[in-house]
Amino acid sequence: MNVAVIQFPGSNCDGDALHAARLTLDPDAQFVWHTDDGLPAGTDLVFLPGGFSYGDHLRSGAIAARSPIMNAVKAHAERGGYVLGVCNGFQVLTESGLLPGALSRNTDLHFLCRPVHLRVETTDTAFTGAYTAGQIIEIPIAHGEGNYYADAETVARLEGNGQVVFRYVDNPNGSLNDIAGIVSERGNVLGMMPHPERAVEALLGSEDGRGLFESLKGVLGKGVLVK
Amino acid sequence: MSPEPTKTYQAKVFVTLKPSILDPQGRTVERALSHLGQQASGVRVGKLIELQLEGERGEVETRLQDMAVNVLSNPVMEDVRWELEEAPVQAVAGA
Repeated sequence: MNVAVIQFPGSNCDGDALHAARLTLDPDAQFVWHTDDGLPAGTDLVFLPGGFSYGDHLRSGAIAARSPIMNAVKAHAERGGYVLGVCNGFQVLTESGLLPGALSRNTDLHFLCRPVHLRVETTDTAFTGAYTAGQIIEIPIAHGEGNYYADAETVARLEGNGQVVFRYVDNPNGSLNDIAGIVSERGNVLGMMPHPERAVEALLGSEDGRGLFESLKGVLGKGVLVK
Repeated sequence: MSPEPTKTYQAKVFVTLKPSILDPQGRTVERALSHLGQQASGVRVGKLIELQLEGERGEVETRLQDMAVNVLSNPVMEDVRWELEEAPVQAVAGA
């Protein structure tokens, strides 16, 4: 299984993402620079890390979503390849159209940086198979613009298809329907505001994010087709 | 019909949150105004993006629309409108 962590100017969780990927999935996980126009051959998982790509200018994730590497990431997703976007990575995914909706300012305008509780809404995805349905996990958030918004029709479709994967137990940012993370219709692209890569070692406070990577480990490299 | 002349145009692109989207920044500004004794309602904070474009008018309008809709604004949350005029003066309508 091969993991590529994309680095944009202003990414600041890229090191954590690479560390978590190497620890749990791929000892040879590597960075890919945003101006590259291709992914390393055999890439199974693209990890879009958190941070403030391009200084959050214009809109969070807007410039990164239009950078050269994203054409390759879109092609990878179209082929059914796995993509994980965390925090700014989630914003990049919505800006690039790989996931529906948008992330706007937290309702209290504060940058929120603390552990939160999430409910795992479905285990029927490549990202959550190692959890149990309804399991409550503790994962840190660190964002100023994590307020998930989509029009009513889109939210209804996400709910109807079981695409809402993680929900806040105590909504910190005003997200519609307490949405913390969603998957694409085919199930191969996950975007979430909380940081599972910061919760893979007990020494650092929580191991609850590990289940996400363990889930991927179960499917990556086994040729399991997405829906 | 003679071809349109190539000119430099000054564009202003106005990006605002859709009316259905809560604007916490606008509410904060509204409260601050109220504390200062200035009564105002419906405060919304948006963005103004200025840019210069060179070309024939029709082609410039097409490019501006493409940029405004696909890059400068996010249609999920934002409305966008623009004004285009010949630089440096002369006011003409936008869309």
